[in-house]
Amino acid sequence: MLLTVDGLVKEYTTRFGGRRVPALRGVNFGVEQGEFVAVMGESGSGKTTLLTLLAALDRPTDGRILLDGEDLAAIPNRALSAFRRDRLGFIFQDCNLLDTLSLRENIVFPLVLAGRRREEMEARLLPLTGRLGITPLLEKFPYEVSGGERQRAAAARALITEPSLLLADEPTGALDSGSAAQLLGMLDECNAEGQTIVMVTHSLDAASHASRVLFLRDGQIAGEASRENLSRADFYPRLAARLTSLQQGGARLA
Amino acid sequence: MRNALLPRLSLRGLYGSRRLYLPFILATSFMVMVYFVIASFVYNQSFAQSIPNGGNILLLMSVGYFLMPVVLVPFLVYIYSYLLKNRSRELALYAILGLGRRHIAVILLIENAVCFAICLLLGLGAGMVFCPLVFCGLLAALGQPTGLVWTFSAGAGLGVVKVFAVCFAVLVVMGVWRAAHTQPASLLREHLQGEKPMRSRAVAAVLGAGCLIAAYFLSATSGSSATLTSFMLALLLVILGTYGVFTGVSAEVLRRMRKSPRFYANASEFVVVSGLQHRMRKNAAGLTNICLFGCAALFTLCCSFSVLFGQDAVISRAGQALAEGQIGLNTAAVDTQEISLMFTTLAFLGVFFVLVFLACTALVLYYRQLAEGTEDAGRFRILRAVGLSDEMTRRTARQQLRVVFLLPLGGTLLHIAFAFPFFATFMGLISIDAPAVLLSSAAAAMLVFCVFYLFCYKVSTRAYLRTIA
Repeated sequence: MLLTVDGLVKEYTTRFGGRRVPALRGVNFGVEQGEFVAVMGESGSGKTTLLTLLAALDRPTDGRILLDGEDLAAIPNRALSAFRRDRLGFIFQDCNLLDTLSLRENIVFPLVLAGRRREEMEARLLPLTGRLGITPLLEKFPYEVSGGERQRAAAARALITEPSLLLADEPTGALDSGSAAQLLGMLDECNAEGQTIVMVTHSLDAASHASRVLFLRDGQIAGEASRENLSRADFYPRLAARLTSLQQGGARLA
Repeated sequence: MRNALLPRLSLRGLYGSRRLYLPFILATSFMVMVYFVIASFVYNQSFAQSIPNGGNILLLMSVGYFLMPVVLVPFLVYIYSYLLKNRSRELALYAILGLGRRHIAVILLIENAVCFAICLLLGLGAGMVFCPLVFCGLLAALGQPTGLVWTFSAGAGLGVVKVFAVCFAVLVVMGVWRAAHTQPASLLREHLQGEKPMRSRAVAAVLGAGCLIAAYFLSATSGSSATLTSFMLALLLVILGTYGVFTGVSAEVLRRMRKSPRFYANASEFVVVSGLQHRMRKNAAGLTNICLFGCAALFTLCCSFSVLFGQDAVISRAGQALAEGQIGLNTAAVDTQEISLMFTTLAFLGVFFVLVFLACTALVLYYRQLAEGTEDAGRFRILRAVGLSDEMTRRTARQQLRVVFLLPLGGTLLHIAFAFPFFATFMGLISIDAPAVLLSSAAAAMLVFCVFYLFCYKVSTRAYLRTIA
C-alpha cells in the first residue's frame, strides 16, 4: 500500500465564537502503487480539505496518513517542505505558476529548490515537455500562454521530481473541454507508466479516467466504484448512476 | 438616486481599501504639512527681514518651495498607480454591473477629492500647530523676543492648496485614463499580472549615466564660482540620472544574472532575481524616490554638522579680526554676536529640515515595503506550496530586500560624495571652510544617515515579512 488514510478527522474552529466545524469525519482508504484514484464530491464535501491534509499543508485533528509506511505527522515541520518537494507533486486548479518566471524556470523550480545540477534539470525537462507539447513555449511567461498550456506546464512542474504520489486538485476546473481532455489523457499516460495519482474533482468526465473512484459526502466516504476492465465509455454511465443513487439516498436520509 | 450612489461607492471604495489608503493619506498629509511650513517662511517676508541673515534663510526656503512639487508628483503618482492596480478588480466589477466610464471617472474624482480634503485638513491643521512652534523655537534660540508673532498667511495656505490640487488632478487624470483604456475583463485580471519583464534598458542606462556624469562634472568644476543655478541644474541631472541608472543598469545586471548558469544553482537567487526583474521599472521609481529623499536628508545633515562643528572657529576668527581692526568676514563690520546668531538660526533650520527629510525617507521606504509585501504575498504562497520552506522564504525575502535597500543607500552616499564641492562652496559662503571640519562633518553625517537607514530597514523588513507570512 503506497498511501494509507486511517480514521482521518479534520475540524476547523471558526474564528469568532470558537464553534467547531467538521470538514472530515473519519475517512479511511488506501491507494496501491500505480493506482489512479479519483475522489469525487460536491463543493463542501471536504475534498479540498482531504487534499490539503494529504499534501501535508495542514495537520489532521485525528487519524493518520501513511505514505510508503511513513507517518506524515511524524515529519518535523522543518523537513515538511523538503518532503513535499521530493515525494509529492501537485497540480492545482489555478495552476499556481509564478508570473515572474518563464515556463522553463517554473517547471524546473522544484529541482532548483532541491539543489540539483543544471544538466539533470535539462535531461529531465525536455522529454517531459516534449510529451506535454510545450517545448516551444519554454521561454514564454505564464501570462503569455493559454490556460491549457499553463496547466500543462504546472503538470510538468509536478512531474519533474518523479514524485511517489501526484496530487491533482480539480486540474481541469479552469480548462476548456479540449484542453481538459488533453490534460486527462496526459494523466492516463503517466499512470500507464506507473505514476500513482490521487485526483480530487467534481467532474464525472475527469473521474471516469481513474481506475477507482471514491465518493466523498459530508466529510465521509459514501461509496466507491472500481473501473476494473470497463472502458471509459462504459465506466462513465456507471459512475453517473452510482452518483445519482448516492445523492438520492443522501436526500432520503436527510 | 444615481447622484447619491456614486459618492457612496467612492466612500465605500476608500473605506474598503483603507489599509492601503491610510499610509497614502498619512504620507500625503505629512507632505502638506512640510510644504505649508516652507511656504509660511517664504510668504512671511517680514520675519525673514527682521532676523539676521534672513535673506539666506528665505533663499533656502524658496529653493524648497519650488523643488518640493518636483519631488511630490512622482512620489504621489508612484503610490497611486499601486493603489489603482489593487483596486482594478473593484472598478471592473462596477463596469460589469453597468456603470459607464463616465461614472467611474466621477467615482475616481470624488475619491480623490475626499482624499485631497482629508490630506489638506490634516496637513494644514498639523502645520498650523507645528509652524508657530518652529517660529517660536527659532526666535527663542536666537534670543530675540522682538515681538514677532507668527501669523497665518493666506498666501502660504493658498500656495499649498494650489500645488496639491494640481497633484491630485494628475492622479484623477491618471486613474480615468487607466480606466478608459482597459477592458473590464482585463481589469479583473490585472492584479494578477505583473509588469512584462524588461528587455535590456541600455538607452536608459546610458542616458542616466550621462546625466550623472554631467552632474558630477558640474559639481567637481564648480569651485568657488558655484551658483544656485548650476546647483539646481546638477540637481535636475541627478534626479533624471538616478532614475535612468536605477532602471537601466539594474535591468541589465538582472538580465545577465538570469542568463548565467549560476542562476539555476541557487534557489533563493532564482526567486530573488526573477522577482526583482519582474518589477524593476516600478522598483526603479520607488528606489529613485528613496535615494533622492535620502540625498536631501544627508546633504542637510552634512550642512548642519558642519555648522555645529565649525561655528566656534569662525566666531573666534571673527572676534580676532575685529580686535585687530581688520575688515570683517564676508561683509564689513559684523560683530561676533550677530554671527553667532546667524549660526544658531542655520543650525535650527538645519535640524528642522533634517528631521523633515529623514521622515520623508523613512515614510517612502516603509510604504514601499508594505506595498511590495502585499504584492509578493501571493508569490510566496505559491513558492511555499511548491516546496519552499518557511526558513528559506524568510531568507529569500531578506535577500531580496537587502538588494533593494542597498541600492538607494549606495546611490545616496555616492551622490553626496560627489556633491562635496557644492557643499564646500555653500559652507564657504558662511566662512566655514576648514577642510578638516567639512570632511569630519560629512563623515559624521554619513554615519548617522547609515545608522538611521539601517534602522528603517529593520523596521520595514519586519512589516514586509508580516505581510507575506
